Amino acid sequence: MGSNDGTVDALVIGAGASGGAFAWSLASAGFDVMCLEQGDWVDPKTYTSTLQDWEVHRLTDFSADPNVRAQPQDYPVNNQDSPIAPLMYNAVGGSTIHWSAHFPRFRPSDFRVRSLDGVADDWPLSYYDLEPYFDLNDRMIGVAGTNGDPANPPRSPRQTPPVPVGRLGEKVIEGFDNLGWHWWPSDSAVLTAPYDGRAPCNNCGPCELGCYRRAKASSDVSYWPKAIAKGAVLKTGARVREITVDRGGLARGAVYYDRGGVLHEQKARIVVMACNGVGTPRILLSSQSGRFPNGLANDNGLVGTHLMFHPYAIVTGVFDEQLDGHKGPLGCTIMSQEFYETDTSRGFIRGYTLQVARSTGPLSAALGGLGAHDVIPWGADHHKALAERLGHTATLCIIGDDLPESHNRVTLDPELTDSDGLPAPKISYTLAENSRRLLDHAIARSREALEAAGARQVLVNPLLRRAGWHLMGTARMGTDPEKSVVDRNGRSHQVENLYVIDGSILTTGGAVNPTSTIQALALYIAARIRQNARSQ
Amino acid sequence: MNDGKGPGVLSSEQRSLLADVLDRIIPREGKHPGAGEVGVADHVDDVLGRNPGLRYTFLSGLAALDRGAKPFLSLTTDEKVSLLHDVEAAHPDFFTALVRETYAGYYSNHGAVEALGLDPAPPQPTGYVLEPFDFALLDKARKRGKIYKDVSQ
Ligand SMILES: Cc1cc2nc3c(=O)[nH]c(=O)nc-3n(C[C@H](O)[C@H](O)[C@H](O)COP(=O)(O)OP(=O)(O)OC[C@H]3O[C@@H](n4cnc5c(N)ncnc54)[C@H](O)[C@@H]3O)c2cc1C
Repeated sequence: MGSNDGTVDALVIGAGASGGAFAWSLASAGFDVMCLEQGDWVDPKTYTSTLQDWEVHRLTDFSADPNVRAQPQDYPVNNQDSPIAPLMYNAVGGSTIHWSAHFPRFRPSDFRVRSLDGVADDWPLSYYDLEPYFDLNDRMIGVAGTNGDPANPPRSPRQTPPVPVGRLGEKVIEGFDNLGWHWWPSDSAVLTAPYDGRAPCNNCGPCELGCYRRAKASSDVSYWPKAIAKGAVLKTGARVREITVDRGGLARGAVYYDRGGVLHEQKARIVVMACNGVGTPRILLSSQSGRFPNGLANDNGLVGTHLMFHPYAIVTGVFDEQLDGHKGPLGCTIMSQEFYETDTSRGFIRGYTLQVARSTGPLSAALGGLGAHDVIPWGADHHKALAERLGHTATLCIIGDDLPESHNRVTLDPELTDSDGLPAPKISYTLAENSRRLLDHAIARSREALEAAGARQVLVNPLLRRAGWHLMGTARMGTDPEKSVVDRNGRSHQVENLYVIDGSILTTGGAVNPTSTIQALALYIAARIRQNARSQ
Repeated sequence: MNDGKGPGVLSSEQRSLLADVLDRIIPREGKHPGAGEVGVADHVDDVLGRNPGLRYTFLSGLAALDRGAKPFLSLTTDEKVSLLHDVEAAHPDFFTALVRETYAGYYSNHGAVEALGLDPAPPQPTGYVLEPFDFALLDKARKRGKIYKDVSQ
């Protein structure tokens, strides 16, 4: 399908979770695919988990906050007007370099919140439309877990057994079992046995430092080698400035800076945005033309609006026993979905998941632990206070459904820019009343569960600031061109050959980590494009 | 650690003062060494060398410690601690950074981590051994019937 004028069939912008899955799918079908990625490859052997000061790197040059990390490939994010700071990583693999790999799926009801609960909008597709792509994605990346979870529709056998729960997991299970609440081993994109040429996890702990063993499915080790083997071309150090349009209002390609700051234009038959829920609206809004003065595909002004994060509350139990929480993948053990579906008697709509997290090393514990609850005091009491905390905690992370609201949004900052002079995104977000009530309910239930497990003290962070892990909703999917940016196939309502495949297209946020759903959508959209090409 | 990556910025007087302060932030106790003792001043010096924004805050905070009638180093331990509490209240930015960098340097130190009773090796490449998931744990959870709301396809 290649062409001689340097025009590719599909130009994907961004090589993260969705970009990798999509590029593999189209390249496998013989499409001529190119991807432009502003970051670089990262060699797993260089991850800082092998260094004595590994915990310092989490807080500095390997922080998930791009403003703290401030590496050349990063762009700054103005987060002053938001109680939650967006987090991301910019490299081949995107934010999955950093991610904790907790891998639940959205549930059937998440796709129908307007019909069921009278809020937000229904998705233009259902869980069952995506189901084959969830399964395909699981096979591609390898998922640890076990099927049979009563809180979710039956799913295909998991590729490797569940991650070990450790003493910490057993303790929390006691609490859930004592209360008769649901729990199940988390589906985790972390191998517990060799799979597809990759080694299993050795329980080192800090997944967010990048996986030295390639056991964690970041898309640089899962999808990209396969996509490249099928002929996809991945250009790194290529920072896209804007998507260009032709006279007919179709996308023509992308203008990007190479590492030396030189501008190039790459032309394509279709352009596919995969820069995440902040990066994609940023580039669309920056792509202003005579035809699209407010940004590409933004005639209705919706690009960048309806930003969702999953506001996180963090509840930590302190136990007398040593729980060895630093052993095992930090974010993956078990989860409880006892309170997932709407029950209006609770005073809020929709629900939440309790994700059980382990603990990290001594530095993180001294600085207040995962919830940054309270710093261990300096001075004479320091050693005693730390000894009571270190390894003695188990944490419930509350992931609540974050309903889409148009005033929560990404715009272009009038002053702040990246190192190439491109406008930085500005985030405006306020916590909804429904979210606050949901979090308060979940905090009380978390306290109950930790106490039922034997915690002697419970620490609460009612809203974690550095928790913008999930960037969603800013180019929302819908059937009505007045109320959404892309259609059910990820295609822009206004620009026929422009697609969005990343977290931006999620119509609602669900109450679980979004990446399995994002990747299933990317594979679904790729399949629709393949089908269309065949029928033409 | 000051490994030559960044230029050191502290004079030898400032370093001696800092090392003593560090030993009050994390004092020696039992098997635990003090923070000054294990060389956390090198870490702080390195951070200040690379971070000009922090340098001014830090140097003025340190200077405030020596502004009393007697030099900090000649005070008794109790006097030092009480002066540090005063400075903590008067210069919160300095103090927050001081505590954070003390902890960062200290808990990156092999000996200090070993004294906690932990394996001081970094997480990789060795990792840790955990028992595989025990499926018997699921007996109770399995008995629970379907609890998700199904929605017609
Ligand atoms: C610390 C952390 C922990 C997380 N844990 C979990 C978890 O446990 N479970 C879960 O489901 N999710 C988790 N997430 C979220 C998950 O990583 C994201 O949902 C997922 O990576 C989003 O995929 P994406 O394709 O939308 O974007 P990304 O993976 O973020 O990829 C976007 C890519 O686009 C590139 N890009 C952006 N702008 C440009 C430009 N102008 N030009 C060229 N390239 C550009 C970026 O460099 C980046 O590589 C976590 C995230 C973080 C940061």
